[in-house]
Amino acid sequence: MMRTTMYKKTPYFFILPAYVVFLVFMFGPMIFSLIVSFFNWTGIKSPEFNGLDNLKGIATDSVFWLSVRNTLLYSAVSLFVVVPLSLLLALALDSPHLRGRLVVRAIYFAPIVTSTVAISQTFMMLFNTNFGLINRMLGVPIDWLGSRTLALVPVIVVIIWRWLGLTSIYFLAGLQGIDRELYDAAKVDGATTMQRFFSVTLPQLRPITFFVSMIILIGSMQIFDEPQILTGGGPSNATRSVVQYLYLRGFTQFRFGYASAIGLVLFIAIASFSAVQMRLRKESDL
Amino acid sequence: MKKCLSVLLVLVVGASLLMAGGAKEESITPKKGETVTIKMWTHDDLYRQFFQKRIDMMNENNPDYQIALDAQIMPNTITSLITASVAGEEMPDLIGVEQGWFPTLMEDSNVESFLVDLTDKIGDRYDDYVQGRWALYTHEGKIYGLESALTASVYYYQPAIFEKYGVAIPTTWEEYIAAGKELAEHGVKIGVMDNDASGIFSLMFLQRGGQFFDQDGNLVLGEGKNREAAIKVLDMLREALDAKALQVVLGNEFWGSTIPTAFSTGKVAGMVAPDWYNTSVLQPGVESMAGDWSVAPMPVWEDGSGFRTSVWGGTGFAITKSSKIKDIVWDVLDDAYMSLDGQLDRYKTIGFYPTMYEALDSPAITEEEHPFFGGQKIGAVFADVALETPPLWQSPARPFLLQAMVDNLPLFIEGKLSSSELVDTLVEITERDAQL
Repeated sequence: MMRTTMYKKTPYFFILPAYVVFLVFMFGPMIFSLIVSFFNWTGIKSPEFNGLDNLKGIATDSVFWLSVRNTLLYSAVSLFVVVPLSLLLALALDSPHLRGRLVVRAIYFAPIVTSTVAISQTFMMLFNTNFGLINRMLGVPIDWLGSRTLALVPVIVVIIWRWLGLTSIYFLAGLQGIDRELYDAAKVDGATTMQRFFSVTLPQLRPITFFVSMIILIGSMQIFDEPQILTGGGPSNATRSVVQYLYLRGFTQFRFGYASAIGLVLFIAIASFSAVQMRLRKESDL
Repeated sequence: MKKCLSVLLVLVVGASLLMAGGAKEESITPKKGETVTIKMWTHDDLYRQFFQKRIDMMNENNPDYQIALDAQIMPNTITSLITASVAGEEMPDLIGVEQGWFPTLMEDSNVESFLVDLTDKIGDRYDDYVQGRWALYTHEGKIYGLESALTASVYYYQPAIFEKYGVAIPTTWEEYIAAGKELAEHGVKIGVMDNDASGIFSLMFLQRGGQFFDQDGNLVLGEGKNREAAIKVLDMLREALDAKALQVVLGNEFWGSTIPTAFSTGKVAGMVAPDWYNTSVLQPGVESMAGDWSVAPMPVWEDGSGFRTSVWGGTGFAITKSSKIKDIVWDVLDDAYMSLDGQLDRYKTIGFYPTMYEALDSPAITEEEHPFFGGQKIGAVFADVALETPPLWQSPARPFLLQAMVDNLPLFIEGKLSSSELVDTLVEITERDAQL
């Protein structure tokens, strides 16, 4: 009897550390941040309750909405450019005809293990108006990083370049998990390469595609490093993301209540997008 | 509900602050032969080098006790100080406060809880130092930090470029624009303007006698002579930009290789910048151009308005209230920053010009020939204008003003905002955001 009880309890002991860490470092701060979002607090003196003032302020804050627009753009690029490109890349990397596959895979994976600072500094030099390689090649002094309309381009290029390798590795793992007999059967049935791709590969990759889309959406909605180091969010907030704006209000200007309210809005947005994605996946599985 | 939330948050914050060591007023007197450790936080290793040198010298002459320096280099000392305070972690004894971070401590007069009021310790010696440098660390009439550099600004330029095109070195801003137009015809820019920081605009504005805030920290940029000064400066910058006389660089490129490359390729002839720019950016950036540079006083205004120089940046050193060795830390700070020997040694060790008038007049400063500047005695140029170093009054609202500048100066550069529109926008945003 006692042994049975112990067996039942054992799994909880194994998962306990993870939950303790989650409670202390994730759930606790989340609740704290939720409470702070209803206060005016500079981090030192006692906070003052201001009800929904922070949320009302956000609703009419043009910089916040600009950062929302930028973040949605980054997310859209991540979902609709990075995901398809990484699938194509994974197909190429999976090809038995590709020579030096391991080396090529390592090269594509390199950006994800390279320091963001080094990447951004390199791209800053590449996109430099007067001395950058890109303008040298184009033969025109385009103000990539200083123009409000063009500054998004370098940030998007870095996002694509940086995340392509990682997501293609996920797809590659998915491709290698597909039963080869399915392809053989399709071949016997006379399916062309394209037909095999659409009828075998894509349906079999559905769980991986969902997983990749999910992590890339959540990651891109919290994007910070690339625009922060490349443009600092400028010029005139043209590349500022929501998390950058949260950081600015919270940790540069010490307006923790306002920053927490931004965090709350972001949390709700990510949770909503994730819920929609999961719903869509469920429907497509039916 | 509101009450519950308030009580909960106040309890959490209160408990954190109680755990913090900031409020404790304890003092330790070292015993004979004992070693006392000063914990120092700074954002720049240069300061560690200098304080270590001074402490080593003090130790040699102190038979009673020895001082050890435990320095930590961190990006933002004030954020770390606040975080350490809230988390109840150990705080430093001596802290370097970059002048742009001081306003964070001014909010709700928090500075009184964190830093020691040095006003009485400075006492009568107040007048022995460049007056404008005290303002950076002053709150409600009390001084909380000692400044590390004069930060007086001059025009660093390449004489060969001016000679080549037969253009005279400008002495007024009006001449500067005219010379800029002439050089622009040859594809050379006379100076640099960064697109999202406040560098050249603030320099010229302060030089013209403008102030963003008054001595009480109230925003006065939009009022009377300050608004006029700002518009005058912006109009002049507009003229220079339209004439393509200034090289516009990104704010985050300011410290990188962009400007040195522009100098070394002869595309930019010079730059108005403070003293620290020479040792921190210019010389390391264009080492191979040693001997090709000269220094001229910053151009002045033809109508005689304002000062002969301006200020940009600075770092003050302060003693924390939580320190248990305040007197020892003051002895070190007094020796390093307030003595003639310390001021001259600071210049010799880390290259920052003294803030003490007597030190500025020393032959060690005025007579030194600088190989990088072709043997020019550039110290004499700084000493000459030091008396006219304008103050920069601080305010808790300054971070909001700076961010407003970062966000809106590019719009001015693009021509989307006129001079007066930019000033009005800066005032409006600062007033709004400071209320958040």
